[in-house]
Amino acid sequence: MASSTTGEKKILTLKGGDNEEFILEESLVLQSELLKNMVKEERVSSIPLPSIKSKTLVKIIEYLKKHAELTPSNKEEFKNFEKEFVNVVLEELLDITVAVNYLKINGLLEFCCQAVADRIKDKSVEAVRKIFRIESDFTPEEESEFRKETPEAFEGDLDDTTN
Amino acid sequence: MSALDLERKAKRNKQIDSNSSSQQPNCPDSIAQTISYPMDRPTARRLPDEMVFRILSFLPEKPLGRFRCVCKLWNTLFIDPKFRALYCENYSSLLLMSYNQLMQIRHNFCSKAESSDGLILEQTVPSVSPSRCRIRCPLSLQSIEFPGPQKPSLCFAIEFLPSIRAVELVSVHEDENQVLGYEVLHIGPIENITPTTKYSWRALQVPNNNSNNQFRKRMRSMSLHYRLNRYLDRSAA
Repeated sequence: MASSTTGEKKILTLKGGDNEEFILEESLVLQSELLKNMVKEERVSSIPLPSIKSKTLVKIIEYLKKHAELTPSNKEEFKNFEKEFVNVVLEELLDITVAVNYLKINGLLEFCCQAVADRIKDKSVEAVRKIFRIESDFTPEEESEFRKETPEAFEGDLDDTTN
Repeated sequence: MSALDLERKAKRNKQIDSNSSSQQPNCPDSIAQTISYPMDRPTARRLPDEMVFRILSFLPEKPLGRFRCVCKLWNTLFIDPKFRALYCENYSSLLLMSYNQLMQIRHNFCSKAESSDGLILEQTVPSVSPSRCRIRCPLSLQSIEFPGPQKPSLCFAIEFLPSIRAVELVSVHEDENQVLGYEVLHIGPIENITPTTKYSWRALQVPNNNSNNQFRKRMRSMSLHYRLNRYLDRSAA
């Protein structure tokens, strides 16, 4: 009997941005609201995700697997895994966060956003602009006004690196 | 006050809910556009605003104050109710404090008095001339600005008076002989106030008697605005 239930496990293919294919159990992707809707409503067996790099997809699938195995007894282990999970270069962490946002994996999204916030909280304004690829639309005068108004926000050793 | 508060909160939550649910059907398309990675132009990435909000909502107030000058959009975060709701979730009561402080510093205003239903009267710092006042409603994020009183104010009182459906402001000042004077300003849809006098202070006649001295002491006490209004109600009657 056990073998017949495993036989019924649905298999799903995810296609990353560089056409690399990932085959996994359908139950795993149900953690993503986006994929869940696609699977339930459209009954697809292959989902192209051209906007997500394969490297990012590998990480996310790794998380989905770990999260599916989460039980009260291995909570500590999972927490350590989460810590390691976001311990990547900032560029990659942003890629992951964007993808998680797109896939709507809610628990992970909060965690990633918090991790990004932790990584940028000591950064300089210039570094943050580079990280988020934002061009300033303030004049230098307006900017110096900010510094005059809230000097305490600009105090201390600020990190100019983008990783 | 609390009922109003709750109602607004419910409204705000509803707004957030309806936003997120209304986004769901068309979400894949709209977000897919913003997160496409043009490989040839690596500088073109822009995160969806919603995500930036989420990330920034986890920041403590100091970096948040610093990142306001990243770009104009980020600077508007503080007045976005959605952001404030998110920030409330993550930082609970910290928000209102830092928000108020930052807004005050930004416009050189400092808080002078608060009405019992939560309106805040603010006046420009002494270095700003001519002096301006404004009433702010932190809940609705609205404010109204008007000239400051004609004479330097010792203290202010603000209260909404249901009887005239207007906010009444009273400024107390003192001349060189330590005689107290009062200026009053009504703000609201009052029929018998003409537009020209609507937003200017006028002197208030208070009977000058022996209790003046005692009254002045009371003015300076903590429960100033409450007592002042009681006094005004009595003298009006």
